[in-house]
Amino acid sequence: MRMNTALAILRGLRLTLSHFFKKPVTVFYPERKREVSPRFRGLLALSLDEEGFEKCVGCGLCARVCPSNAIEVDAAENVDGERYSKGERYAREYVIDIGRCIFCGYCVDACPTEALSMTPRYEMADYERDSFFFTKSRLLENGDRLTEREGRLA
Amino acid sequence: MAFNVRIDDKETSVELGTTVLQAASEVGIYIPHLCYHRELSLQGSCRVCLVEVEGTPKLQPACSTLVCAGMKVKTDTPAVREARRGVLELMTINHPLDCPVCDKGGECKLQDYVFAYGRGKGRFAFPKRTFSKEDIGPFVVRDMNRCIHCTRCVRFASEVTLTHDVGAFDRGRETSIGTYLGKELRNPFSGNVTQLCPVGALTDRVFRFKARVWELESIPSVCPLCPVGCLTELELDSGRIVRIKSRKGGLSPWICDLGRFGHVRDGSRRRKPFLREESREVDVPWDVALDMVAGRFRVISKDSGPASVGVLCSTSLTNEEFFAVNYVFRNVLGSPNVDFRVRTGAAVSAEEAEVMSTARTVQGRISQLAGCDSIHLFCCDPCEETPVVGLHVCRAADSGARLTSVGPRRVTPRPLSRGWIPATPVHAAMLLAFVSTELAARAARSENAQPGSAAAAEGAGQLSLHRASQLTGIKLEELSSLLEELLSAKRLGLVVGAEVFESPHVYLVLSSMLRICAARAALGAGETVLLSLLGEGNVRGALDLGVFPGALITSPGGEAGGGDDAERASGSDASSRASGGESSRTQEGTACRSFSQMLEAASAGKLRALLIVGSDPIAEYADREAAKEALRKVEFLVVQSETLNATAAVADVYLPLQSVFEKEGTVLSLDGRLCGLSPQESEYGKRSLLFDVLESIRRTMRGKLSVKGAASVFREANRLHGWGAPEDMKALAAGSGVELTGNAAEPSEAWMALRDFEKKMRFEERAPERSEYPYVLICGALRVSSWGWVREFSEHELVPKEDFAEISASDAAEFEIREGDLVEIESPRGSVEVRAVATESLMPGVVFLPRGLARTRLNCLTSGGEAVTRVRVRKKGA
Repeated sequence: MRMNTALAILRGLRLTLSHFFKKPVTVFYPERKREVSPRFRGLLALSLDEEGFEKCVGCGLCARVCPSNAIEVDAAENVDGERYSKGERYAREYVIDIGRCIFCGYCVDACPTEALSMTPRYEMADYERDSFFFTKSRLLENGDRLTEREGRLA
Repeated sequence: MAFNVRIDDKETSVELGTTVLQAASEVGIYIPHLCYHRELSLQGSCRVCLVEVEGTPKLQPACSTLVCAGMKVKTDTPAVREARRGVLELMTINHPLDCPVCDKGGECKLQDYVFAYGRGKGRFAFPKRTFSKEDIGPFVVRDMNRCIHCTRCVRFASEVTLTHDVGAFDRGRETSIGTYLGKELRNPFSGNVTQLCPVGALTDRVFRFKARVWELESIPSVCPLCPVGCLTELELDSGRIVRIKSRKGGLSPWICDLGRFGHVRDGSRRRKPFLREESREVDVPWDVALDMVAGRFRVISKDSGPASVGVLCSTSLTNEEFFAVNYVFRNVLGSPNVDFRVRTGAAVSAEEAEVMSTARTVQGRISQLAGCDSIHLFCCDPCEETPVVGLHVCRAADSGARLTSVGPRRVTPRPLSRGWIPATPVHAAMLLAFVSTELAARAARSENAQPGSAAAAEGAGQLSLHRASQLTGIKLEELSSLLEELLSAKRLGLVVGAEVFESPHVYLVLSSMLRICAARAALGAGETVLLSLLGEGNVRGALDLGVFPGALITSPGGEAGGGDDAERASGSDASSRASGGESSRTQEGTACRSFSQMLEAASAGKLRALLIVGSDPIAEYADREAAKEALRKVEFLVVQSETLNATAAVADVYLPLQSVFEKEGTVLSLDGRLCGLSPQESEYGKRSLLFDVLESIRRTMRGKLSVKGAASVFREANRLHGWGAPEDMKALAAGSGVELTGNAAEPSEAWMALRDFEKKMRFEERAPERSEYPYVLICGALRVSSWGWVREFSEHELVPKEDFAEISASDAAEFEIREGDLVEIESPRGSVEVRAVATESLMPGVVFLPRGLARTRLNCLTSGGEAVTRVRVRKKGA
């Protein structure tokens, strides 16, 4: 009877015990970071084209499609001598409230110029509420740091 | 005659002359179209509306194919779909495929159609034709790359505005839309082409890239800037107006540039009240300022009697504000000093008040003008003063109405000036008086004359057209042909300019107009549509609600509202009954003071406290120096205005005021339609700040009727004036307005008689050929921009960039003044320097200076008392 009980317990713990003999799944996070999948939806980034112009034309489709209203775009017209993007329109102000963002990636799908992309970065914690507002310059900075592979949402 | 047609599977019966497109839309079948617009002529060039008609071998354009009996139309067959696909692909060959960049994206017909009916992928692999983008006017940006050559804009300029200033140049794929001679597109309706353009070829400079159309909230409202009362749709982005469009169901599908772009007010607005202490401006909280104003008004009116306080409004207020001003000043304070006419502020005699009130009750409908077969424009340029009235005149002209006009300037656009008789305003008034008398005499002599009109015939015996011709120097033939025109028209439109109401001839002109109406009625000549373009803003509201001295004297019915109020309000309270009694005595005793009389009283130290709401008398009152002096003598001057204007700079207390786009309330159109305003959001909320001021005075003086907000005042005004409008102001704003009852009366036979005719003709003799001041100064609204409020926003595109004065081409040639020369215009009062513009559109012997130029002050030249200001022109540096 007692033998049976012990066996039953061991049977139940079989899966648990088996992990004593496997490599750990977790990593020591702050010291070591896990490689994310290629289609990981992390922090958003804006990018420039080969000639250094902003790919974003300020069309506002990302703001339109955003289910949590996290994006605000304020457009203006390019003038000769002060050109930000290739078309007539550019985003004078572009702010993503990453605190509201749900990382669904709709904005990236909607972007007609492939200006917006999702990076593998996931470390966005901060002590200031204001730092969750990613302005155009910060988003472009994010874009600069992207490698070719990271920049593309497969 | 009706036909039965079958469209797809729906049977319908339509009238002769209906197109397939119209018939289809009647049964709810949508046929795509680009060049077709229901207000413009047919073009049939875009070929998007091709449909299959049984029995015809080829597809037919639905917009220009008339239905016939038993026609069977199919709008959605494989052939039709293929044709649409092809047409749209051809259009997008040269059209840039960058909808996200284009400002039209989201409301573009081509975008919608390509999405719905197009191929989905372009096959054109060659370079597209390109043009450069440019501003073709202050409000319109042209991007020819996006143009699909529907020519809606061209047809608009040639059929609606009759300005013929937009055309299509070159041919084939090189076709481009532009203005003739490359001139700026500057007609008063230029903004409409941006709403009319189905693609992003003509876009709105002001709105461009400000917001995406799908972000906008759209609310119905009415344009408060001129008394036409066009229905508008305000498009708001987070509560602020970013664009104004015309709304269906109104007078006209088009609105003028003032209405479309007048909401842009970037001027430096002062947002906080201040007191002036030893010439320093000290900011004070709003409550403190209000208490101070109420307290001082109370003390001064108790100390020196109610006649020592007064108020000057402007026409940019709502009916509710006018009502509250009248109630608080006339009934609570008992003051006789209420006026809104800042420019002349002339005293109104009893007969002037009578004629003005009658002219309002017989006022025709603006929409009636389009059906007139003859229109007479008296000293006015409707396309400039109240542009949408001008459009109705244009429509009448386009459908063959004969036009006559009298005045110093040629009527714009050109086709309206065919029967122009050049005359100075004085001569024009004289001419009208003679012509109307002659008409009345004929009516009196006719068989079906009333016995009462014998006097008219007698009076007219002495006043012949010959005498008129002698006095005015206008050829007799012209006078008699004008007379014939006025007599023979089946439906005559008489349009009187707003300037008349500022002139001393107001009685003469309006009574002559009424005489023409009465005489035509007596002669059985047909309907007469009399339309006075009263002025700017909510002027009809100011007149109807009696915010001027002429109101109380004559119309006990209309303006007694205030009086009833006082009685009701003071009914239970003994102390206010006493003050109520006093107020009516004051008003009977000293009569009402007009603004000019208020200034006189101020100079004499009799007017001690004055509230000025929204106006700027120092910049606008006819005699600048006199206004300055008098206002300086006012002990307690309170100015409530949108910006720090010239008068605010000398005020003892300055209070901010919202713009007319930020207040809720109602306005009256010039033909007596009550419309509701929808406000945009402002930092002050939707209640007018004027109500706070009036309410605090009312509370201090213990008046009974609270004037806290627009809604309660509206209910009160609605009841007392018998407007018969729905109680809910929001519902009023959403509808097309409520016609007031008791309008459009026939002028009575009594107007046919002459009353002191000779005495009224206070005309000066013709000026000697070479006097010291040989020119007559004419002023007026040249562009809609000349109206007062724009002056405070001098950077606005509606304001001419440089001040100018017009002189006739022949005078310019005589004095060797070339276009663009700097000239000095000098009157006995003072002088101004402006650029000269030589024009054929002005009669010789006059100088035209537009009102409210950004820098030149007209009132440096004029004086309050004189009817005619004579000036001389000297070339600068000569």
